[in-house]
Amino acid sequence: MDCGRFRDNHAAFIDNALDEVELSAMRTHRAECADCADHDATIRRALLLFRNLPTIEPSAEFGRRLNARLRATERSLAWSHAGTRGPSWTSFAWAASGVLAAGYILVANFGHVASMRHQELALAPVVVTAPVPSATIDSAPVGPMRISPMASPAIVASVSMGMPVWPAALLAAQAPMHFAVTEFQVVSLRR
Amino acid sequence: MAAEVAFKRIVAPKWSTMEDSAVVGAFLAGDERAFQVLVERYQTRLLNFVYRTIGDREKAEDLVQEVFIRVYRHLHRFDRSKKFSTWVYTIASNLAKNELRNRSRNPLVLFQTIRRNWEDEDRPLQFEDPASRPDDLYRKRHLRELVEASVARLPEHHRQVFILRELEGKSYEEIAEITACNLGTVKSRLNRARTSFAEIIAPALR
Repeated sequence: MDCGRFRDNHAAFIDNALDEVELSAMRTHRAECADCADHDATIRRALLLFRNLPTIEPSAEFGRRLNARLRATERSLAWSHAGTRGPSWTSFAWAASGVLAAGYILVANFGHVASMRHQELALAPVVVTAPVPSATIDSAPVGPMRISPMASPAIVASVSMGMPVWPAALLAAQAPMHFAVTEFQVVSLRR
Repeated sequence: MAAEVAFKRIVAPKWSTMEDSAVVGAFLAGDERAFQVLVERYQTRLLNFVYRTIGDREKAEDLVQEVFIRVYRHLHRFDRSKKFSTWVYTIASNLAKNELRNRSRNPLVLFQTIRRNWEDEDRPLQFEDPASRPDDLYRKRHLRELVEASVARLPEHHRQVFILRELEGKSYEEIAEITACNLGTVKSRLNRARTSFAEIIAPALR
């Protein structure tokens, strides 16, 4: 037997829970190995101390307090048993009136919902601006009558829909053309 | 009928010779005195077990009372093919574990326990055996405190196994059932607990 095995089996050795062969091997190893003998003695001495700790007794109040708690438990158990015997007339009347009230509320709400279900949903009318053909814009003469790209139907429509990014992108795309048209207008006015 | 428990040390011979299972049977058949017998049999053992586990005397009494309340409430559900003592110790073990868990979550409880222990230390020695010499008393008390402090330093799951084996003399199988562990775990925990306890206390004994 080696020291590792001795330590592993030590609890069973102390408790006399080993068979005769193992017990004998443990005793032999203890006699031969000083370290394991020391380990065995240390543990047995420590356990002896622990086992001889004085026993503590319940206090004088223990019984009285336990009695009081048992009585309270018994009362609560009696209550719970009474609850399982069946409802009294009063509790039955309360429960019945509760069920009736709940039924009334349910029926009233169901009627309201049903009447709402029969109404048709009326959506707000869609307001659109008639698009100006792009050919008209492009063929218009340069001058005050020409429609500015700023007022193109696409921009107007997108602005009214509340999309802030799209008009900005459109403006950016059309900016060079817009500047050119403005320049032409200025030139024509100077003439 | 209220479950009046007289808590007298005298238990009728009829009860003292009865097995736990027979006493439980008598209680379930309506004999309230049987509950007193069960309390008598287990109150001191459970108190020592819980006290050594949690280290607080007052709280240990509360917990042992809670054990008996639970036994009283649920005895009709107890499987009588099993050992009553194992069942009772399982309840006590779980309550002690919960108490330790709550204490670790609530530092105020820990502080109150430490304070109470200080007050215990300040208590005069007049309650101890007056026949002993003062230096003997001091030595014994010092040794007791040393052992208790060493046990308290063991990890909770090691401590329970250690106390159940060394103090209560429970078998490995019973400990496995009480602590809800397998047999191998019980053996290894017990081995480690014994070694740790010896290592903690050994320097103080040299």
